[in-house]
Amino acid sequence: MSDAGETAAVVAELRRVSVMLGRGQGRVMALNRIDLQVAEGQILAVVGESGAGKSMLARSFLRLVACEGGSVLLDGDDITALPERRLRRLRGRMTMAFSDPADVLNPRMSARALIEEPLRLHAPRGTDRRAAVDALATRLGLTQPELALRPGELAPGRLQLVGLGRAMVTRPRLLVLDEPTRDLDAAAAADFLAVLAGLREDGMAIVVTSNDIAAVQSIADRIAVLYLGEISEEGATADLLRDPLHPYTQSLLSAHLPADPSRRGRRIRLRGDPPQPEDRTPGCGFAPRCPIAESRCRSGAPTPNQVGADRRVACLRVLEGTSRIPLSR
Amino acid sequence: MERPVRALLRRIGVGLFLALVVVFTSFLLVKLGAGPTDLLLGGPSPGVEERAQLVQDYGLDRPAFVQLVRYAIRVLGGELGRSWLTGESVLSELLHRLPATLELMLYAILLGTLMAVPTGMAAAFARDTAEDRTVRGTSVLGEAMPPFFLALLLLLVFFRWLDIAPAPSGRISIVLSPPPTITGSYFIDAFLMQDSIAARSALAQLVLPVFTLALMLGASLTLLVRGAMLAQMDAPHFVYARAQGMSREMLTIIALRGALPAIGGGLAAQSAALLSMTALVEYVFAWGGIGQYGLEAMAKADFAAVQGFILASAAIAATVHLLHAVIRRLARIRIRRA
Repeated sequence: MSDAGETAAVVAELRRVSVMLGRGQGRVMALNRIDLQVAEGQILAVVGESGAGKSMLARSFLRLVACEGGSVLLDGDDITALPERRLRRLRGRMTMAFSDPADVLNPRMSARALIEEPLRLHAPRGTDRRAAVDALATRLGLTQPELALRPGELAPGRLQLVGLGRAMVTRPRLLVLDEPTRDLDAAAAADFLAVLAGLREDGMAIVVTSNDIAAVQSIADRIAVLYLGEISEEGATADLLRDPLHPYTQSLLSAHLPADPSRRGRRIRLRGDPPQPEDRTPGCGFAPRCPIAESRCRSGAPTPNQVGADRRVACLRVLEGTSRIPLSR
Repeated sequence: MERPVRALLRRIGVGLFLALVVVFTSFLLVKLGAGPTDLLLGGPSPGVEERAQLVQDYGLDRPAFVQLVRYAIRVLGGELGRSWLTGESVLSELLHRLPATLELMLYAILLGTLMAVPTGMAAAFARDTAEDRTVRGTSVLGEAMPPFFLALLLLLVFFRWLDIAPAPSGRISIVLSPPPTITGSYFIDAFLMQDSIAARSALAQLVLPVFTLALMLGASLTLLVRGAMLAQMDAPHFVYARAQGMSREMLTIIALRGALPAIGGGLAAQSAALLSMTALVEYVFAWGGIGQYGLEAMAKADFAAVQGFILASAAIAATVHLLHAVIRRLARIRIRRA
């Protein structure tokens, strides 16, 4: 899986992107100097708890939020400073689907009309929109009768496919999905992810956010773990799962119940609540909940360190090889 | 009966009930606050026998409750009593003055909305920029300003200094006679009579008071529009529409459509409350509507006139809310959700 991304061209890139939310006294840093790339035919999963900044990160790729610094690139072009008017023309090339399609899709339009609508905005004149929608629906597994239904008449899983179709119909270079499986039951989520995995061959760069690392690990080429608006760890899926180096990644993975019951008890329990950006303390953002935090972790903030050829870990202890939480329960 | 019709009738019923509550409450307040009514009635220095006669005639020796019930029965029969000052029927005096007030309010609501909606929308789109802050600051200032002060300020600038506005001497120049009553609006009536001089004068007299009220109304409405638009622009479907690359015009329509119920509700609430401001503005411009009538009646404790004015303002407020309810019901789009 991971070899696909090595040579392919980078489609979208965030370079030291920061995003601030709110104003005045309540102004908080939602994203802090994020570096991230996604290449052709690659699926990047961004994993984190709610409040970690997943949605802001997803929106940053599309320049739907204003960056406080850094730059956003699409196919090598810097789009950070483009005015909304110029961005609009790019919006067929970079698209997005949201977690709750019922919230964003016009309840009075049929599934067909919904999928077709972006073509009206972006496709050149003379495009056979009907044929394009039909072809796409076939790929996604949406039936003709389903295309005639409205959002309220479709099951959540099917509706999410409509949302995906709508995001894909303009054949984008970059497809961003913000928690697409959040509101789906396990079966519908698995179906949806299977469809998504099949899209890799189209050559799109796909970013998918989730709060469930187990759900996305089967389809992601790379995983970025987000904590308090910073990337704790990022690397190829197989490597990261085999040997999670950041204490937070380790706790995330241990929270997932393993199939083998004898391995129970290895769960790392974090103290405290999932963090909110306004509670950010100096030093490493994870230090207040980290089982192996030292005093230096509370003063100096770690920058992501390159570990090996293809992995970044933002932990002070990783360079000494002592970032693994001892399993001494 | 159909559901909408029933709902409408219920609303009218509630409105009537509220009007009764207003009558009772205002009766008690005036009763408590106005002091010995017989003294006011009898002119500058009534004699003892005269006073006793008045008390007898008006039933002032009866308990307050009895007076209230007798008054309420008369009000329900459409009888608002006579002004102690003019001796005229309060109802006919109010009806005679109502068009002047309604004209002022209607134009102010139209103009205020025309100013506030685009400004509020522009501010929302320019969120947190200098333009947005300017709009917000000006609106807060406008909201905080007393209506009579703004009216005087405008008079000072446009009448006294620049001398482009007419004197605040009522609804038409004092050298002209009012047009015959058709609609009650001097401007429209003069226009209908093809009396261009009178029409122009009536229009000129309208400008400053309408502008004062429109600014007052527009200030708070602008903030309301801005807030409602921003709420829409944070909604998932709006972000989605943006992500799709919709044009600014389409986005504006999407946000405005979503914000309309909130804007309509705010506009209705403010229009219903506009009469209190109108009264002060009428006073400054010697407008002669029911607002000025009410204020003068209050100053002189003219019981029946004050009651009539309070009832009229309650009726205007109830009518505005009723209209709003009807419009909202007509505009409601039923969305079927699974």
